[in-house]
Amino acid sequence: MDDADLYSITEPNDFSNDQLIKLDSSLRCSICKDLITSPMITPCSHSFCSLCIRESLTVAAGKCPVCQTTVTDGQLKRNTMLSEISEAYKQTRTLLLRLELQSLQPLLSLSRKRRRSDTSMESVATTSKVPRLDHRSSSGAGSSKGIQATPTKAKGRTMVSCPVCDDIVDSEYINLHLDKNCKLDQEDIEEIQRASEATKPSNGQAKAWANVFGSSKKGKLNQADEIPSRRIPKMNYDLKSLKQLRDLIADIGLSDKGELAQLKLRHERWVNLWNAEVDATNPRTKSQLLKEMAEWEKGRLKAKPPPKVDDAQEWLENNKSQFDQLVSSAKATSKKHAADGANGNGSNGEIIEITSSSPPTER
Amino acid sequence: MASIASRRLAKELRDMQTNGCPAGIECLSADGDRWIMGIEVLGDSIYTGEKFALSFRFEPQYPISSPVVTFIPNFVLPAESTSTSFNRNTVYTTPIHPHVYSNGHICASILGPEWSPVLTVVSVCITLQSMLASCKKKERPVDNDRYVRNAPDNPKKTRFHYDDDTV
Repeated sequence: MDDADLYSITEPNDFSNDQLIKLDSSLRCSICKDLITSPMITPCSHSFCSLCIRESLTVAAGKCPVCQTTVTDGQLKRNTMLSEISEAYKQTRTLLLRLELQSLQPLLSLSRKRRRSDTSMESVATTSKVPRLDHRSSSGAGSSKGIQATPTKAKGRTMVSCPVCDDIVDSEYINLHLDKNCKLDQEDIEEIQRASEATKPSNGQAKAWANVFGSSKKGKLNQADEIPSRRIPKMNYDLKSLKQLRDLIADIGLSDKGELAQLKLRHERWVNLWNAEVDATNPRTKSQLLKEMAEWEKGRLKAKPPPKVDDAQEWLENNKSQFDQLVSSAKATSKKHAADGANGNGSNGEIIEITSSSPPTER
Repeated sequence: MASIASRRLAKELRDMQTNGCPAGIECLSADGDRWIMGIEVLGDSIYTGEKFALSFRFEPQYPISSPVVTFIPNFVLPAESTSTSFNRNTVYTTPIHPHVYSNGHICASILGPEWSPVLTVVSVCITLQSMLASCKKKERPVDNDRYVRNAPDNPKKTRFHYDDDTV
């Protein structure tokens, strides 16, 4: 388990208010227990993350995980309203948590705090569009953090402190900063500003040319930047030969190594991942999906670690007895086949294959 | 990125820690993809007073694929466990039940084809608890000896035949 990442795990019990716990848990996918992403609704009215339900239907032969009704992935419909709700909730969750925490803190020296927060509220209101709710409720609750948001001027810009993370941020970008879950810091903002200033003068000209030649971006759009827009239909793998499947997978840009069963699993996963991205409001690009496939592949390898071979020669020596045994048993069967009048050449090839494929590095 | 399986397990574990387990169910150890749960049948049943240890093994595809769940024959509470209801000096064994083989393998459809990814460790425990609670007669499955002799390590490789809905 990756410990660092496990800290990012959220859970309804992060809240202590019963209604908030209920709200949080009802916006979760019952398969991954995470906040729902690109929700799809089944004919039986159950909603799941697009990827979760697609994976589940692939494995559990078309049954709704909750009520066992027959569902095919073609019947899934996008649940746009839930999608909007859950996306908005994801953005507000940290704020909600903070507010709840503040409301639970004892009301210490309320009067003094209130006066101070009132002044800060005025100044913030005049300089930025910080969500007001936050300031109003914290003034009542009497927390000290987030309230010391007295805007300061820096480089001719108005700086305010973020009500959620206390970072000092340009007031014009505070909304963007909040939208990005406070991951956007001042350095990023300056970069954005520099970039926008740099592109400004040429912008009009580029637009004019784009009108003549069609969007320049479209022309440059290579395969890696492709955004999933059309679903890939499910495939009957029994009708494909190993080579056809291998070519198909190589065309996508995935590794075409492995046996038929592995190739099938890989392609199934790719189809699910791709189709789930088609359902997403802001789909990722193909290259990002390929990266995620690589992660997934790594995770599968971890589950079944192959023997690590640094020195093939050493490996051969250490496992010599095992290989000798295999060779002799293969020889015995080949002799038997020869004695039975079976094809001698075929069994000879068998021996070569066994001996040459023994050190895994050579594959 | 932590895998979906470990994220989901972490959530289940945290839920158990904050909300506690239902009566008669207890988490004895949770080590990565191997968990041990203790279950006890409460109320009036032929297993009253007995306790059993369940082993859970999770594949990387969990919760899409079902966990491997077996009763642990001859279970002794590990030293590091903080359980109060299980006794350190007692050896716990498998329940004698028409759907539980003496090697701990369980013939229950929710662990096989009827598994659903919305089920959790706790809900599996509750199902098995009620499977024990509704049993009227303590007996091993009819083909116990034959099965145990040839059983694969992983009960998911066994093709069980689910015929009895009553127990």
